[in-house]
Amino acid sequence: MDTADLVRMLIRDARSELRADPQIRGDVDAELAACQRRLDEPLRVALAGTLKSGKSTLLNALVGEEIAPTDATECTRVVTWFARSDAPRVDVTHDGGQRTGRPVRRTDGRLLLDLGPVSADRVERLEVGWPSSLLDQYTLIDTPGTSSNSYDVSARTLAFLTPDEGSCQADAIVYLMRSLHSADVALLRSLHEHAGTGRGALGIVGVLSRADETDGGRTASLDAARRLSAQLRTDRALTGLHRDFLPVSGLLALRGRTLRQHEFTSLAQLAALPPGVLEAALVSPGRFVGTDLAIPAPDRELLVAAFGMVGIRSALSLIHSGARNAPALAAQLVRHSGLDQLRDTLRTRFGSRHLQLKAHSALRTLRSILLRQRSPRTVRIFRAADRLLADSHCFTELRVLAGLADLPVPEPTRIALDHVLGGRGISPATRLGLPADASPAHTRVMALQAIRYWRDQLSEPLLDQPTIQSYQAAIRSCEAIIAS
Amino acid sequence: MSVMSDLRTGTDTRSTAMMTELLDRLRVLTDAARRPDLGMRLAQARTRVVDPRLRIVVTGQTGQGMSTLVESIIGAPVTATGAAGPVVVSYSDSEFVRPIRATTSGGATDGGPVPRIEVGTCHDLLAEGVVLIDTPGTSGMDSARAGTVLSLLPGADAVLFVSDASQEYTEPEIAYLRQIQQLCPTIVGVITKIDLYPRWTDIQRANRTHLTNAGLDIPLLPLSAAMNETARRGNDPELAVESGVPQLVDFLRHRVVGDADLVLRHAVVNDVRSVSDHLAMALNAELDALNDPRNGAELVQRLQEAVHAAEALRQRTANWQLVLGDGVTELSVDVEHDLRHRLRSVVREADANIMTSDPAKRWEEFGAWINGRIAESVQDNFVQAHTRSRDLAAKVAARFAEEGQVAVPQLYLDYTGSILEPVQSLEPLDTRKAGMVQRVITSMRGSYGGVLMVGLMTSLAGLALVNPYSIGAGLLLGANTFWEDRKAQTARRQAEAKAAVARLMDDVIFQVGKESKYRMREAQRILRDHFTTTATEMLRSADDALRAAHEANQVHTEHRAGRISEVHNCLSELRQLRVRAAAL
Repeated sequence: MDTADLVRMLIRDARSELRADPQIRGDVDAELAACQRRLDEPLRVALAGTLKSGKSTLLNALVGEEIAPTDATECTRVVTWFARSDAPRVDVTHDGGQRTGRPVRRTDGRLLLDLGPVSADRVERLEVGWPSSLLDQYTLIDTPGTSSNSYDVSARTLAFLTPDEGSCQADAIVYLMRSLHSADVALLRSLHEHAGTGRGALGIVGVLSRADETDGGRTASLDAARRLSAQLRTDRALTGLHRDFLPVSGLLALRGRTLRQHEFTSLAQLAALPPGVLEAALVSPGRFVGTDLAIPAPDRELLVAAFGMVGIRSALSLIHSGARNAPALAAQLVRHSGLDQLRDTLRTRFGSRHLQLKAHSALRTLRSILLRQRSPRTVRIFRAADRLLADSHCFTELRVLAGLADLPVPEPTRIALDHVLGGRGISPATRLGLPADASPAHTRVMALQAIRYWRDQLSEPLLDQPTIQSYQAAIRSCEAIIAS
Repeated sequence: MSVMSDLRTGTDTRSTAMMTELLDRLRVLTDAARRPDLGMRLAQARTRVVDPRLRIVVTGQTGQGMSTLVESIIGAPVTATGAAGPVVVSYSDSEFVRPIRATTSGGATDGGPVPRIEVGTCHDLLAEGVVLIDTPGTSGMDSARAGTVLSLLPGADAVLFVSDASQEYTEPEIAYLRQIQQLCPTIVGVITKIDLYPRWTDIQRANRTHLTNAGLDIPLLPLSAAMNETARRGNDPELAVESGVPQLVDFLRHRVVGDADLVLRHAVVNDVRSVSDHLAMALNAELDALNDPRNGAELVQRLQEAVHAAEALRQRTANWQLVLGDGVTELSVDVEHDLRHRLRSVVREADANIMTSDPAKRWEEFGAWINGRIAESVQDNFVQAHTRSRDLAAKVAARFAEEGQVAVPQLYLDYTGSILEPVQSLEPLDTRKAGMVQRVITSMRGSYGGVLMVGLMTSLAGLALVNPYSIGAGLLLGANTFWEDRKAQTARRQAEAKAAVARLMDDVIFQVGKESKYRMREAQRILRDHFTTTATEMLRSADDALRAAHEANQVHTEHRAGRISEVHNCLSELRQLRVRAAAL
């Protein structure tokens, strides 16, 4: 019986015990039911970041369809959930639990989300159901940007990510930023503290978004963003916080994933122009639309609106360097955008552990509900939940990984810990840094060596408690490899 | 840029020539009247007319293209992106780059220079007296940087606030704009990189909405440095106009330079008017006495009253002196109270922070945080002091202004960055862990007592001193001592940390208090000197008039007609000068 089943059982027990207790109100059962459902749902990943950091665009790129509305100015105003569903639907929960369905309307492949007669401040939850293979794995949550000039918009996001009461509803967070500002440091710190007190999401993946614009869009590459990402790794402002930021260009990825034949045809015609003419036209959006080029003006306007100047430059340079047809260009755009790395990271960090992450969230929620609704009948269940939280090694791993940035250990040790605790993937080979096809015997020998190494580290007398715990967790992980 | 130089208007230089000529002619009259005090005032006005230096500060968050904008305006690569201090670009025939370091002792109080890089280059906008100051980006990562920029603002004639077209204004940006506006009312919002973002008009509209909501009235100019660069290389005037940079230069030249020109012209008109008033007073008195010798006594009486009035204004008991004295006392009390209040809330936050956990582990981080908070509080306090001093100046001027218009002297907020330098930083906390040995000894000591106590008691019952009961008690007490010791250590460190914060605050209050008292005194001195000089001039004029009237009574009848026509000439010349000044 794995951990998730244990958690399921505990919740079932708690429900039956509490249902029998006449003093407990009915909504507690509803909470527990939601908690139970959460175990069967996909992992909840929230996209967070300051205003205009490209959260909705990245969400669209991940899904491969334009279902989150985007605009040049501030656009997302309420926390929006994107979950799997067999048919497209839009539901608004407002005014204390009322659910209203909204019509699903699309123009040019973009989903229009309007709240109808409900104003944004009354909305509790906006839920979009969509058939998509990615949403089978993850429920994505798009949050409005922080640092917004509309105070209530920022407040809604903060209330979702770092609630004063209860725990964060997301299991993991993808944090987007364009460059490091004090607002980012403050938000990251607050997320970190929430995770530290066991009320926040345990996993954070950092993304350096709009990476194609980092150097002013002059060169069609993410090199400048990669340099910035390397700088961030040593930035003192991020001491004790998350410092791995993947450069990703949401726009390029989205265009790659939704590229249409006529777009490619237009781009190819442009690419065939003499370099001088093209260069002169690409000086500004006004010139590009205004100059008489190979394709009609309305098409050029559409291209500019969809790709932006940076996107057009990137696409043209990819065509010049050999993308001959639409599928090739689409693949190149996606590869170029860094989306694949993000998807890989999501898979290794969350995908393989989604059951554990969900079980952890569910257990914590169960625990807080039981703590609130004390009843002599549930003492046993409460203790069992505590025991499960403390004893399950996978939860220990998750907690140590979440606090890894804080440990006072040298960088190589931190990286080694990250590997061995399964931060980069939970297969034995990844944990030990071996090639994927390593033989079981070799793996065993290496695991033994690793145990010896971490034991040696433990004998250091000046270690503080968190470090000791993390080394012990590492030993335990290695033992688990040998045992399996 | 060559396009722009053709557009350069000739009016500026023409009006400068007119103003200097006017001042020179008035100077001849003042010299003839033997009034060196008024002559000095005219000389000062003349220097201002001849050298109208305009300081334009370029600021914004990091990475918005500030340095690129400066380069684009002057059309030469002169600025070093990411420089630690401000880069001051001014006119020079030969190009140079010169780093200036801060004076190490004394800080800014003795007028020591702000650490900066000075760049000289040849460009026609700079030749008109514009000095561009490119500041490091204030992404807010450390408030000390923002402080350096803030200290530059009160002396600035205009501020270019740079934000790129990739996104609308964020909340920190609006907050910063509000702060800027308190220090320098002329702000131009520049939206850069419009060549990259096709939807920049939407951004501009959104920014306009945010500004309106915040109650800020700021012109927004969209531009693209890259397009301007392409235009310059390809010699494409049309593209240059599209890039928006010439419009900005134009705006700076006509609105900002023009506004400054207007202020200057006002000052000159004011000077001409008041100097000619002073001169005319004596001449008119003389003329009256010459025309009508019989009314001499009455005239003398009237003039004596004027002398008394001017005398009274100069007295220490004059009304404006009282307003000034009271105002400064009130102001320094308020400013000090404000500072203490701000720092008290910092201390309260710090105490709460310390009590959350053992401070030793995060002492460095805590130190950085508290330094930031202190710098922020001191900045805000200075801004407040500055605005309040300006209000006080206006109040004193209003009190003084019974005798026509009085120019308010300009006050400067000095460099605030180095005030905190003499302050000792947060002292290190004993982060050492008590060694295992130490702990074992402490616990042994505890357990020893336990063994002894229970052992002695049980020895009465015939057991040995060391028996299972006494050992058990020893273990219990030992463990208890161990935990107590640990708790006591954390508590001790927390107390130490609080004491360190309190000492730091004392130091800050002492240094900043000294500094702000000095500033208050300086402001008081500037105001007092300014108004005393004005009062002295008035007294002198009244005295001169009185003397002239006396002398006129003594003039012999046959010289009288000649003198009358002389005085008439002088008066008509003065009138003419005034008319011309008014037409400026």
